Amino acid sequence: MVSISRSELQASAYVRQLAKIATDWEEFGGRAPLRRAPSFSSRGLILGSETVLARAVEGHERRILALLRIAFDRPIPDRVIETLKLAETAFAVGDATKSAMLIALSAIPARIERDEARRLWIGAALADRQLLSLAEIEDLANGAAQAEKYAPDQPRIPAGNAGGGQWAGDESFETASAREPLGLDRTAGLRGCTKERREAREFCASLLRLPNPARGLTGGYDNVEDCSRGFVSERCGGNKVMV
Amino acid sequence: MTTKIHDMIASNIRNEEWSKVDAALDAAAAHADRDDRASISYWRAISHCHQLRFVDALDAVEAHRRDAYCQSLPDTMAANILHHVGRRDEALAMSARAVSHDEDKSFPGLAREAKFYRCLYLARAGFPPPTDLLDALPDDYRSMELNDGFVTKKDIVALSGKIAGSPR
Repeated sequence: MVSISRSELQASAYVRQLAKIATDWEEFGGRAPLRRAPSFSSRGLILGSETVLARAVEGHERRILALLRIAFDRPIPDRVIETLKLAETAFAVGDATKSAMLIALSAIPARIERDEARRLWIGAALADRQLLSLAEIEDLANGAAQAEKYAPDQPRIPAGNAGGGQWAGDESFETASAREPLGLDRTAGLRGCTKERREAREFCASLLRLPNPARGLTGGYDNVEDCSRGFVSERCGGNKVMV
Repeated sequence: MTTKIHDMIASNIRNEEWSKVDAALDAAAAHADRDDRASISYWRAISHCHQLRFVDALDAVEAHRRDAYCQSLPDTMAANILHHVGRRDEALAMSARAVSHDEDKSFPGLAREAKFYRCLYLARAGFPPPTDLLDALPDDYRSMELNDGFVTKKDIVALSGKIAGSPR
């Protein structure tokens, strides 16, 4: 009988996961529409082949910076995060144009092509499947960026200026609006409603696939939309709650 | 028939802790009967979609099909995933399969959902949707696509109005 050690099993599972990521890219990622620059959607911050950098900026700053670094293959200044937060808020209050403008004028370098989207897809998949820790992703990103570090044509911010010595991207300027605090954190609002509606629809479909769905849960409705209104809060368009 | 599988993972779904959802489903699979298996594979497909693991999601939909009472749901889910990732021809074929099950009486809501997506994908591909399918949908019918956007019967009618030879 051939014995297989625990570490060999783990290594084999790891290889299978890597193969799955490669298949995912061939089957889906490589065919998905290409978003050349980051943008916000109801799923969060998206770039490349529908890769989700993060569902929200807050709390995921390190992941966003690491993945941006992998995608663009160069260092990304930390201050990008503050601009992304403003862009996220603008998107959440329905101002998608302002959100896109803020990102366009941020320190995020340039647009990506399919090869960079593939690199990003793989980096995000490694993180999502916990095949690499965030620290390892950061190391990977730093390694990728090192190759670009000494590019002779890459400008640096002169000493004596804010951020002096750091690599300058295409971001020589920021708009006044990028620094203007909106003062309201309404991000959770709109995305929260989309999330509620989607969850409610998924739950209702799971009920309606049963031969005798519980009327107490479906409200007696046989369709997904009406059933889902019972699980969505009133502020998001759900049924009124009787007190 | 209960919602016990969903109850187990509801809080993790709410918090978008997908690895915990997957782990709980794995644990529940050990002693699952047919109903539980159907629930587990359904929620596994949902979890994978949220994680954008679409190959895995399609595998889970296939597993769901084996244990499901309602067959139009897994076909519609597969069509939605294929359409979302740009495999439009396969989505169109799968949506045809979704409406082929005679489930208008047994699962009316999901049979209607299958008709809706059949009409939508036909219209988007430039084919006029069959009148009988479109007429089976209430005028205010709407559904939510995997990109979280709502799409309505009016959108389908507007699209099909632009198609040469369309009855509308």
